[in-house]
Amino acid sequence: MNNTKSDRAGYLFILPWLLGLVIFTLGPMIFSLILSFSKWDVITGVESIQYVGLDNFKAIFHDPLFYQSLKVTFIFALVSVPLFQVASILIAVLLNMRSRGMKFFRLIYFMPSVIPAVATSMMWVMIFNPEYGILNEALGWFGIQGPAWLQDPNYALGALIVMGLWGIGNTIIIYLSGLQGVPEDLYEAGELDGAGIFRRFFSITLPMITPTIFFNLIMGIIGGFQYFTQAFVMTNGGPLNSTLFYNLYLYNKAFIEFDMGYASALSWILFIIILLFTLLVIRSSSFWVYYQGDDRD
Amino acid sequence: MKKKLSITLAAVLSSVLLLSACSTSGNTANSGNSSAGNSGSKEKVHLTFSTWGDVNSSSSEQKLADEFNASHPNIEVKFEPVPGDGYATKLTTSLASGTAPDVFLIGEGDFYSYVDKGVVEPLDDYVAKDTSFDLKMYQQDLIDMERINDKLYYLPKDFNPLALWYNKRIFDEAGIAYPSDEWTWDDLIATAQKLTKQEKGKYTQFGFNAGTWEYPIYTYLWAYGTDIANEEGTKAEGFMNSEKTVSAIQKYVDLSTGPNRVSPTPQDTETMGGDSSMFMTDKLAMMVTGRWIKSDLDKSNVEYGSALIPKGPDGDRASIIAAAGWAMNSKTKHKEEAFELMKWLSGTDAQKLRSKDGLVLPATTAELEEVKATEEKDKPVIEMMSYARKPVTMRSANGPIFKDAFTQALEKILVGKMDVKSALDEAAKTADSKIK
Repeated sequence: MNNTKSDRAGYLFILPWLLGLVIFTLGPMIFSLILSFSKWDVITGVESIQYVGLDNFKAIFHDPLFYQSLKVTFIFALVSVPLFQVASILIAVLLNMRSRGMKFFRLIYFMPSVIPAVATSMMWVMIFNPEYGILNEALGWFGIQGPAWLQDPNYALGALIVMGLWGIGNTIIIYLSGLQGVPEDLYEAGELDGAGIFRRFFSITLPMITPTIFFNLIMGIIGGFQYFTQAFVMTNGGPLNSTLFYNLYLYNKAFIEFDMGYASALSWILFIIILLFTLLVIRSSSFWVYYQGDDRD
Repeated sequence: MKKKLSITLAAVLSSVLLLSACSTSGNTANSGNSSAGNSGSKEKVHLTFSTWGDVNSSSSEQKLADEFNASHPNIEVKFEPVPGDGYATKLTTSLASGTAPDVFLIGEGDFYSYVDKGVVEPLDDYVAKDTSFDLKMYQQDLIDMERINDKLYYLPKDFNPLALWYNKRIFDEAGIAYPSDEWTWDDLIATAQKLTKQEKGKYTQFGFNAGTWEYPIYTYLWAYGTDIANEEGTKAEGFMNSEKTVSAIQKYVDLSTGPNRVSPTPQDTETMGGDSSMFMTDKLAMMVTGRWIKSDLDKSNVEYGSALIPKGPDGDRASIIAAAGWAMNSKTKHKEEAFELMKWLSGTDAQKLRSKDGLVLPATTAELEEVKATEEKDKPVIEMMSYARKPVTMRSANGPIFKDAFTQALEKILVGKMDVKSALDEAAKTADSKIK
């Protein structure tokens, strides 16, 4: 009796969230799944939705732009995910040192993550400006003629990856908290055994923060595959589709060409790709993630 | 006791959420009731209409809405402009959800596609029924544009023919005569060469803007007797990649590439803050663009003039009229009233009101004659009207296919990835393969 009553209270408490999930997440997801097997140009209303079976998927697998956008997104994810993780760990280790003014540096490294992506993108457009940008100006001091970063198809994707480093503040903060969870006595023991700074890092720090790496890796992979805002603002897929990210292509299909069925099919393919990669990381985790107090190994 | 409290709390929380979610629909229902009650026994018809553009420049539309409401006691019209560049997205989604305005504005580039989707009501029956309304009051060119597959779908709001705009200060400083009616494109290029300046290896001034916007390129191609598609808009092969197109585009691309260019590259333009601001800061001598540029130019202290777009080698001259037209939502419940509103918004009083501040040219013949008699700066612009032609996007529902293939080819040429001939050959093939 008492139990059912408290059950009911529990359900009532999660009702707002549950409604949100059903209305704003689950509902649209089911709708987009239906749409992915349909043809719909949005403008003529829901009554014009037409079931077309697998036509969208068949067309996608013959679409050169689909492959181009996959290529761009995979290159970006493949380079940026490891790069961002290594950079974040290194910076987090530095920020974890005890020294004066460390709070100030932590603030500085986190600050870019607070600024809206559109604003930082506009700033980077100026930095990358081939003639007046400070990047090429700085390269000029060393006698290097910098390229037209965002206008040259050979450099645009690389420029966006480099720019991504600017936004790793969130990841750094998570690593920092992971680092602070590493017990001090392990380092003391290591030191007594004569382990040097690198040995301590690779044999104590790194294994101890593997759960944090695990988490950040999954978030990084998801974020990498969903990359959109910066490319949308700065290059809009150009030059010559060299920065046509998957999500940008999806957006164009949905909201520029209003081919909603095709776009929905694209989004479900992306969903499956991300799911596969996430599962891969989760499956592999038993080989390299170490949980304290877990005696499985 | 505690549990009871928690249950009540949860119930209150969720009901608050639900209520707030419902409140919007509740409000509109209320307001609808109350205004119906105010108007007395007769049911008032509620209409909305929408335009793009910043709210300031549309204030004349608000004025028109107010006057309409005052003179039409049985109709209550509301003006809902969409600021920024989200107009197409907003309109499309609202059309899908059935909440679109009864009357909305469409730009000439989209005239065809909205009709193709069946969301715009044909107007011929309404015009025929209405004896007080005569289409003859409008420029014939505009009405021709707004007729698609022999049916009239739009009523003119305003229009902007493309013309050549030049910076007088740059011409005066170089001691060169202003562009004349007799100019050919070769004259323009020769003058542009004289007006391009470099300092320490960096460009400080350009003679002409040979940009990637397709409208000026179309007028240029027409002057050279060619186009990117056939007249019906069904074929690219032999047009997009014809000998004439290839040589004309080669010449055009040469203007903005290489060390001796006379036009900014897309990068230069970006670096210098866009073509119109380059023009206003005396860094660009000439450009082909629409008359809307005037409102920006008049705000700066640039000294400018307009001229006819140059002729081609065989004396051909061409322009494009950029125009905006009112369309009726084919799903509106109040079609008669919506047509009444459209007539008002494109009528003589509306044309007079909008052209009074000089921002737009009136679409009605009588009012345009008045402007012609008094305006000096606009004379060539108005004259360009008689050379206006329809770009492929206004001739066929396939238009965007040709346009996209062409712009992509141009991009490939400009970054030096392909030569003109093979890029245009490829574009023609792509376009033709996409046409059903």
